[in-house]
Amino acid sequence: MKRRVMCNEDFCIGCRLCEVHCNVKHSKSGDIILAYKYEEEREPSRMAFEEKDYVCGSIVCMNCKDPLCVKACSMGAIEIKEGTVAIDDERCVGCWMCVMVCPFGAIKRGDKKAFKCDHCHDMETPVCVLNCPNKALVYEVD
Amino acid sequence: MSKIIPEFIVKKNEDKCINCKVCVRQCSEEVYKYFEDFDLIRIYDDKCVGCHRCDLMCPTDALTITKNNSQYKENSHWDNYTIKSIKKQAETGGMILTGSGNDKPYTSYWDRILLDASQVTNPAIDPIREPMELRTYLGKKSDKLSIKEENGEIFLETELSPQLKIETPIMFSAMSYGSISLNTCESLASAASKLGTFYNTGEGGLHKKLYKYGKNTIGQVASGRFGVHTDYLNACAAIEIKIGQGAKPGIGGHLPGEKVTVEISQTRMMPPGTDAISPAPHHDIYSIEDLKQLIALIKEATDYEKPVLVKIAAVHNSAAIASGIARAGADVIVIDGFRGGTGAAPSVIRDNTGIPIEVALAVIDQRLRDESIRNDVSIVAAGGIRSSADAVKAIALGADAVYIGTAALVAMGCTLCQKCYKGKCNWGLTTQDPVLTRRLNPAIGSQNLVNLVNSWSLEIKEIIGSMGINAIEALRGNRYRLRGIGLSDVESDILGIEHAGM
Repeated sequence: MKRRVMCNEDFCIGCRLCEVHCNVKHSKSGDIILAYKYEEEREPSRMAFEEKDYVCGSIVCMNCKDPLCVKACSMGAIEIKEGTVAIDDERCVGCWMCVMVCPFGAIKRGDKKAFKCDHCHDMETPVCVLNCPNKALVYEVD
Repeated sequence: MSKIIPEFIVKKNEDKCINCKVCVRQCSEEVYKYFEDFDLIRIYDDKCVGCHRCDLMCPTDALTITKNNSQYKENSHWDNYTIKSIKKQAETGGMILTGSGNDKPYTSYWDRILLDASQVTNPAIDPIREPMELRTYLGKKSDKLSIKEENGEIFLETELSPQLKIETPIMFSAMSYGSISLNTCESLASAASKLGTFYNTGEGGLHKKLYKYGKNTIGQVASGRFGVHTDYLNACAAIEIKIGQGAKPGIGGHLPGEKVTVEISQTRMMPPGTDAISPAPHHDIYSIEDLKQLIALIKEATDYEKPVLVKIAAVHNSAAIASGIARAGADVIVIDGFRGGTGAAPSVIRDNTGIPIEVALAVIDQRLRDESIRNDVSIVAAGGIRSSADAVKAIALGADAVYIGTAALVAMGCTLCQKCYKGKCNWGLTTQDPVLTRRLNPAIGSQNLVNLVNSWSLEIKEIIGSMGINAIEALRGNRYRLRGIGLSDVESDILGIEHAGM
């Protein structure tokens, strides 16, 4: 099994609502207003938004077939779980090797730990895809 | 500095605003501006056109767009619109442009017509349990059919005129590539092909990407002849000669040079960046005889295989003109009422010219019947059809089918802000700006159109079923199933319907 969120840049309208909903999903309260206005610590979004002229798009972890990040991690903190490349927080030491090798810029530096898209593993469809107003983000499982 | 009171006020609920800046990114009118140094979103109300893109995209519903209560002193003669128009013209010295259809409070006869239903003596039909027929054929109908029998098999001897087969009496009206984006055209085209109906190219030619939808395309030939060539004529299922448009009778189209992108210039066969100006009249049509020649020319060019439609705006002597068009050899007459939409028109024309479609349709149908030439043409009613009820009333008044334009745009996101002429449509419909056109995903747009037409079709079946009719054919021109309410004797007479209670 392999999970992937693909962005069709022909229809990405650059609203960045995917980032907003990603933030909310990974907040403590799970409520948009509480997460943004009252929670003191809020993780940055797991989406990598790219924009040039009128073309834009959000990129998240592509769950590569042979992930470079898994090879690069000296701590063995990254492994593929249920079709998703997952980082084990306990083992991650924040050397940022995974951040360096990821060809999509999909792994981000958190506070001493690397983090990335978890494809909302507890949901059938990730929140970014559910909330994309123009269906530019498409979720594929194969 | 402009001395015109802003039309709208944008209110932001600070308790709900999470500063995500979706509004800043979405508004093409630049109502919102983010100042990073102050971490503040500043709102410029005077630029707001009331399209509601921002408040519908806002993830926390923190925005409200309201009418500005601060207005000029109330005056029933010099209303706010009038004062603002004068001030705008005093500042600019130009015509006031507008988009979409006439929004002035003229009588809507659709709202004064009631439908009949069956009770006791003529049973109603349940469309879910019994077969219902909405299929319609547009084109000249033969006066008689001769059939011959050979070796037990039956053959049709009469040669039939070319017909357009539609699965539901609803088609998408002419909107050109140029006035609307390619994604919007593609949504219409793909919806028409899924629904088994037609969309119309307007005067914008046929983009190479849309040739595959040719079987569901009506190609328009208008006064500018943009994009008309043999392949175009042969790719389309029917050809429509546009004489006039309901929103701006007697006025040609004008696509400003900024909107004429390379793709549009190739499709329209004109240099990029130049204004696409369609003359007010066809300079080769100054009489019915001239029209007859153009119809003959198009038929000749398409091997007499495709029906020719002629579209006119509903004006004072439409009935006589329609009679002429029928005699000139057109297969279908399209009448566009004064509520019909446009991408751009002078406000003064849109709001004051033409007549209601209900009236024009009734008199044209009657005139053609009186002259015994109703069978020679089909009639398509256009201009302000808002619902399935309007469509049913139009068919009972004598139309074969209806065109929907504004309703189709609304289904794809339009909120009728009437600023199509600015080319900055926030919903990505009436614009060529690549940042904005991508806001309409044709997969979503066409699905919305399919849903709309399917639900209208279901409603039409429900309505005719309640009248005890199982085929839309049986309702066509059946004005006995209509009754007027609040109509004067003259109005009832012209519409050819009796008053409620009669």
